[in-house]
Amino acid sequence: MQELLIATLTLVGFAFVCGGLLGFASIKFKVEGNPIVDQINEVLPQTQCGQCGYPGCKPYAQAIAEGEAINRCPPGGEAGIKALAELLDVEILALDESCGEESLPRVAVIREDECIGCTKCIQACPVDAIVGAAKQMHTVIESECTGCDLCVPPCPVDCIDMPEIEVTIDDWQWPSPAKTPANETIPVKVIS
Amino acid sequence: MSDQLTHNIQFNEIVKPAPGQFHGGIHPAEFKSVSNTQTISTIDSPRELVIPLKQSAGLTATPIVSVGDKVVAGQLIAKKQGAISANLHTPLAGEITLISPKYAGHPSGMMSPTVTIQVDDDQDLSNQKSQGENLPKLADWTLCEPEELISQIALAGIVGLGGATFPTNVKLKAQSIETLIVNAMECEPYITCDDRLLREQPERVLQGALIAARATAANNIIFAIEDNKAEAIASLSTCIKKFSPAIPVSIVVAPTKYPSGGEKQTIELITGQQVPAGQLPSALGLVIQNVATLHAIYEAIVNRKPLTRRLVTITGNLVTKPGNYWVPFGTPIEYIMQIFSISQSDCKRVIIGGPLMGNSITNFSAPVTKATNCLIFNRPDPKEKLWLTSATKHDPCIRCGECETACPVELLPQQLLWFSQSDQWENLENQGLFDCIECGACAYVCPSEIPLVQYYRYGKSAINKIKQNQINAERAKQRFDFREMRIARTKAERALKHQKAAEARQKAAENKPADPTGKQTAINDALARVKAKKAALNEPAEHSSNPTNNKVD
Repeated sequence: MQELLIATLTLVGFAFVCGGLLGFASIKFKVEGNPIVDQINEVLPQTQCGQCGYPGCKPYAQAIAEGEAINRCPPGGEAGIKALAELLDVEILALDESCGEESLPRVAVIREDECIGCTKCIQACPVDAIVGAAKQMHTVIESECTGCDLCVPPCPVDCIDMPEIEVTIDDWQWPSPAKTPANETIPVKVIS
Repeated sequence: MSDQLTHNIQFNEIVKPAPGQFHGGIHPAEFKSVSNTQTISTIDSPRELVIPLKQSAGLTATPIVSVGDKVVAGQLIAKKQGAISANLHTPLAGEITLISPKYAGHPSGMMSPTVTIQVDDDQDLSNQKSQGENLPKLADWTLCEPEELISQIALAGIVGLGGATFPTNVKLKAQSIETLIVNAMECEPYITCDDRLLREQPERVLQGALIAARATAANNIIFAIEDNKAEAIASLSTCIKKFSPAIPVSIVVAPTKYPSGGEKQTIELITGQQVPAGQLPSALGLVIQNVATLHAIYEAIVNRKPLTRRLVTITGNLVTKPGNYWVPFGTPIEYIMQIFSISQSDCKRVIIGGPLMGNSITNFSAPVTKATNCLIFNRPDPKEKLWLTSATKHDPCIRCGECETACPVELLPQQLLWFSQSDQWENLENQGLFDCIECGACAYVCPSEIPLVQYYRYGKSAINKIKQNQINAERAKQRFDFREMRIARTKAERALKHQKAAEARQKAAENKPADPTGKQTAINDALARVKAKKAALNEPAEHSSNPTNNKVD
């Protein structure tokens, strides 16, 4: 009978200690918000374009955390979907075409002599990349523009173009030999 | 593979064998004797110069001349921009005819900004005076402060002439340097310009080294050289004995093995220590300079000449007189072909740099720049195996491990290949891709002839692009968050203002004295009077009506 009592009391005591520790940890190491949302948000391209149907990347990250499909981000493209699938350990899906098509990075350019200074694009820009004032010409800070297209529809005079960003000599990338056409060669092995 | 000294070198208190060694390496055919027997000479000055504005690591220089300007030899034509960039001077007198993008030898085939100069007829390149002495006059350099020397080197537009073109003034600013290593290894086949320079002008290189040592406060100088350059070693050691410099200068001889001239490999040979990954030689108290760079430093400090030309090895079996030539920057390669009577139909392509690390280009309009140490014009050999960049043309990897034994940085080239082929960037980086020096030793030994370096370059640029995108995304996120915060703040401020206004109104209503001006009382009185009047009117009317009614009744 005594053995039974000792064993029971030991286990009960142990349970209390563990419970106390867990309770302490849950207060001390409490995480504000859902950390997975931030992780998803890190992977998203932050164009804030809203093509996914959510008003920005963070809300979409929130929605993904709550079970939304991971294939609704055209700017992230295939690589983005792959990264999300890896992060969340879900299957890779093809890009949802109802959201748009994956395209090369673009930048907004205002045809400045046509701008009437209505400030509508400034209000639409999700990253404050357009400068200007009422009845003054506006212009885009190209280095900050994410190419989200959101400034194009509000413009009453259609003076915003979205050209693709041209590759310059500084951001040119070496092509992959696996994707290089068969007739391109480098004759390096001329010695030996 | 033996790492023994193979050539007969006399060792003494100045000339010593290298204490260290590095992993791997290869012994390709040298082809040095093609060009190293000719004494240095100059080429006839070209009619036109095409000077690219980006000839150094970092930012493109800003042109300070405009079309139509007359320039004299050695005049500054473009200023450095930002910390890592280099000044550019015109090598010859002439007139600026064009400032526009032109092809400048980039492997992408893309154009970059250049300045085109129509050279005046009446100048002679062999006449040293026409080279211009455009830099400020300095006192005796042995008395100059390091800062003065470094700023003069910056003015002269000197960059690392070994091929990396990193601005020398930035490199010399490194703190707590003990040893200056002079890289005279020149390990790549065909190239002999440093060898020739050491044979013919060792005193200039030595003085350049002493100036660089003073600029960095280094207290000793080591010349690192391969044992296949016995003549250069002899001439340099005689020069050191004759000169008896103030600080110890020695020559350390390493066995001939490619790539002993790689900066980190040289350091491993000379000190027996490895530079930690991702760090600079200054972490070990070392600074390393190329022979040609030191010659340029000598010219800038002692002769006040900016860097406007360099020694270029012009070699290959199509060249009539292969050797080393002083070539002004901006000289188009097609002009050099003309001088050496190389027909474009014989020569399908030129290799700029060495055969292992250089680029081969087919557009001969590209000019000679600060990075061009060698030009190889070879007749295409029908039996020559072309190294194909396309994956469809090379054989698959057979996992033989040859590349691993050849890699001087002790990476696993075949692992890097797998990860690069399957775009696994994280794994690629973890395998040390960014420690790869792209020496090509792995690809040289590969029995399947896989263009391994192409795969690594592809991986490096893809990873850099991803990193850049991440930085941009982070900035966009911050701007988006700030905008959200700003909108929320404005909204809250407006709500607060409205609330305050409403409260103020209410308060005002409460605190207001019942009728400060007496108007309300007057109105009320008037209303009351009207009411009373009405009531009074109605009352008699009722009374009067009743009697009338009564009357009628």
